[in-house]
Formats: sequence, C-alpha cells, structure tokens
Amino acid sequence: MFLNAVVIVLQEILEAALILSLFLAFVRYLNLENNDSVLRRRIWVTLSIIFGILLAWTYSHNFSRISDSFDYVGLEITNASIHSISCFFLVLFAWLLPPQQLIFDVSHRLLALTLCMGIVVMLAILREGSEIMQLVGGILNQGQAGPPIFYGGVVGAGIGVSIGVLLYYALTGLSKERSLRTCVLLLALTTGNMAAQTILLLNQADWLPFTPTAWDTGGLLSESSVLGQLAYALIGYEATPSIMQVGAYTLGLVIVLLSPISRLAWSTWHGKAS
Amino acid sequence: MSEPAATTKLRNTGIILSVIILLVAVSFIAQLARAETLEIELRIRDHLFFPDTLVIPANQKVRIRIFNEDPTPEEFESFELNREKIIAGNSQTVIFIGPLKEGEYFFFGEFFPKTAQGVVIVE
Repeated sequence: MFLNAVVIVLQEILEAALILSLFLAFVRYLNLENNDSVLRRRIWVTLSIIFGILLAWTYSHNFSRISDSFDYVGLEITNASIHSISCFFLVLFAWLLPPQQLIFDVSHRLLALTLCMGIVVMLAILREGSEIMQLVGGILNQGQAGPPIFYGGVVGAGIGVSIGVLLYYALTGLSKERSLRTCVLLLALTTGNMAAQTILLLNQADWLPFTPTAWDTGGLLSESSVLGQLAYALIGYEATPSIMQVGAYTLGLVIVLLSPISRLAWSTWHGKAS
Repeated sequence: MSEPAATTKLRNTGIILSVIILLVAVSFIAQLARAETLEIELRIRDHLFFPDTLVIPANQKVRIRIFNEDPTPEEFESFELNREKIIAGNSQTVIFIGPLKEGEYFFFGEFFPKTAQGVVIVE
C-alpha cells in the first residue's frame, strides 16, 4: 500500500510541479527583462494553488455526480474540457511572450501572462489534486491502511516537488537565450501533450471516432518502466498513440513553436485595429 | 476597421452556423456509432476483477461497463489499451475500447495492482 501511494501521488504531483517549475523559469526570464514587474510579487503562485485545491476539493466532493453524467462518461468530458482550456491559455501565453508584440503595453502584457500562468497552474492542481483526493481520500475513509497511505503520499509528494525544483534550477542555470529556448520547447511539448490528452479522453468517452494506432514504440521504451513514466509526465509519452492523438500533439507543438512570429501577427492586427 | 459592418455580421453568422452544423453532425455520427457497440460487464470485488479475462471480437468497438462493488475507489488502467479511469467505491462507470487488432491487452487496478489484474483477449 505504501509503495502504491508513493507512485500514485508522485505521478499526479509531478505533472503539476513540472508546469509550475516551467512557469517560474519563465518568470525569472520576464523579470530579467522588466525590472519593475508585477511578477516580482509571486502572489499569483499562492493564489492559483489555493484556488486549485479548492476546485479540486469541489470536484472530488461531486465526483460520483460528475462521473455518472453524460451517460457515465462525465469524467472524460470534464477532464477534456479542463485540458482544452489549459491548452488555450498555454498557447495564449506563448503568443504573448515575445516582447515585441504590440497589442498591450508592458504592464498589461505582464498581467495577461501572469493570468495565463495562474489559470494553467490552477487547472493542473484541480486535475491532479482531485485524483489524489479521490484515490487516497476514498481509501482513507474506509479506514484501511491509513498510515502507510498517508506517509506514502507524503513521500511521493516530496519526490515530485524535488524533481520540479531540480527542473527549475536546470532551466535557470542555462544562459538566458538557451534557457528561454528550452522553456519554449518544454511549453510546446506540454501544449501538445494536453491537446493529445484531450483527444484521448474524448476517444475513451466515444465522443470522437476511432483512428488507428500511429506507431508502437513499446519495445523501445515501455510505458510501465520508470523512464517511460517520467517521459509520460514530462512530455506525454505514449507507446501506442492513435493517429488523431499524434495530429493534435503536433498541432499544439507547432502553434507554440511558431509563437515568435506573433510579433508579425500582432503588429498586423494592431495595424488593422487602429 | 475597413470592412463594412454588414460583411462582418454576415461572416460571424456564417461562422456560428457552421460550428452548429458541425456539432450536430458530429453528435449524429456519435449516436449512430453508439448503436452498434457491443457491451460487456466487468466487476470489481475484493480488489479483483470478475471476470479477469474478457474475450472480444477483433475490429469491433466495445463498451465495458464496470461495477465497483468494493467500498474503495479503483483506477482502471491499461498501457496497452491507453485507458485510465477512476471508479468510485460502490458505483459503476463506462469505458469504450477498440476497434482492436487480435492480441492480448493487459489491464490492472492502479490502487491494488497486486491483486486487481486482467486481460482483454481480442480474437
């Protein structure tokens, strides 16, 4: 029970921790660029964690009702919605990132970026937190093996947060240019991952038609291996993705990687608007 | 804004209409697909799957209706099937799988992986 709890909580915490570390690395870059920044006050981190936990609690409190809705695929529909909203704000974040874009002045742009980050972190905590509460809480309520699960959860959370911290220092240890490039790449992979997850959930709910498996890399890197699990948490690795999942992943990836051209897009739009 | 207001309005109406048509078409297709789906039942009791072997035909979509008869939650998980779903204690849920090729697809309960194990055999 102890080890199960470690693994489950670690998986959930890891995804949220990696997103938060990535954003904090971006914040550091944005602070370097703008000395007098709203981002200096990291209140948004605290707020998004608090709201995330509150939402997770609400979700997990209404779990059965949500699960039974939409002919028993309510969980898939709800989670797919959460994933697609996250995707939208990740893309918006990427497209607001280049400093040359002209639609907002500096302080408004930073505020918008902060809002995007806050929403994405909040939704990550909602998603992962509700699963932890459901699994761990459900078992604790039965009075079965309470202490091992609790300590397992604490250990799992500790490892997850540590990996997040390590990622943050790895990202910020690089030179400014390289750090930014790596962050944008990770942002693109995260967005692709969320887009692919949305498709997978809608497939599982039978809301989207079936598409054949694109490839099978299970022999190369098994999803059940430790490395496979880490790759799953970090970049959404799947050994046997469907064609539609690969399509969604690629789309998300490309849209974020194209964000440097937002300078052009924004200025064209700005030109039209004025 | 160089475009006349009428053009903008027309364009917006066009966009909204096509989105509505798309949604209706997709839900219609989904309904059709649902009608020809095979359903099988899977029960969770004492952290075990009953039956632990599900035999289904190849190239056919299947709706697995899972009844969790334990008071504890369980997570149905399968790497081979790319499926993952939490089922609260004393409740039921639905997971769609397939159409699949012939072969063996293992699944397990993430919270009690030592005991809750099973396999989908596609033939």
